Amino acid sequence: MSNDGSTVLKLLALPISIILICLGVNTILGGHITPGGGFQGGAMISAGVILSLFVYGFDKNPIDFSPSFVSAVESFGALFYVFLGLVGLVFAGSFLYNVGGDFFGIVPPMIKAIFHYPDPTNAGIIPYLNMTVGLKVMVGLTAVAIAFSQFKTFEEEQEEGDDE
Amino acid sequence: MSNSLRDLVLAIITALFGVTLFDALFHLRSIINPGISLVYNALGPNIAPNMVTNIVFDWRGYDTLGEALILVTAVLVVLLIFGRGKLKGDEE
Repeated sequence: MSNDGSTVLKLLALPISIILICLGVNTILGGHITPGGGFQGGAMISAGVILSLFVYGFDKNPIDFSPSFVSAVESFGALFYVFLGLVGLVFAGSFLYNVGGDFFGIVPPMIKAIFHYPDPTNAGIIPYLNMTVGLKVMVGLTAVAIAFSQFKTFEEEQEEGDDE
Repeated sequence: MSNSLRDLVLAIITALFGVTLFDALFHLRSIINPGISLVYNALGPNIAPNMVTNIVFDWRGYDTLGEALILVTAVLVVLLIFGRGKLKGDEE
């Protein structure tokens, strides 16, 4: 897209993207302790990727999301969320029951040990749900930006084809 | 209707409306049932420190699943509407 971008922009965009992505990962992983969460962190990661995409263009983008990667991550996020919900349905009788936290003590200890997030809080599956939603949001928002940039290229190609 | 009479009627109606509103509010306070909210506000900090994430992902996790699916639907609609006639399989 932007092949005539300024040198300063091209020099600074990649470090800023990497910082944004790291900040987003930090927000997702600390979602149950600090303000933020999966959706916000995913939007931050997506902002970093979109910045890199718009500055360097689609062809020379250093942070390249291929369509297969996008679909794989999106499917993994959705399916893992539903899987965590089904685990709660099977072992506690309620969809998306917090099997790791297990506030009512109705889950077998082995299952609880698997899904308990290892940190001093009693968050259970909340961090895992944060991560899946973060992956989904990251890939979804990035896919929209990639789609818009590519549609413009298609239109230009079509117009060039009509002129010839 | 003279101007002073109109003012008088307006004052009476405003007073009546205000009294009704305050009455409703005072009675509403005793009528409202906090439901599970009080219980969850007591239990929540035992799960994780961030109460907002607790509610979004624990208490209303089903809601959050639907919210994530909204985003998927938005991406799908963008690809369908703006990519119409420009996708790989189209001959045009």
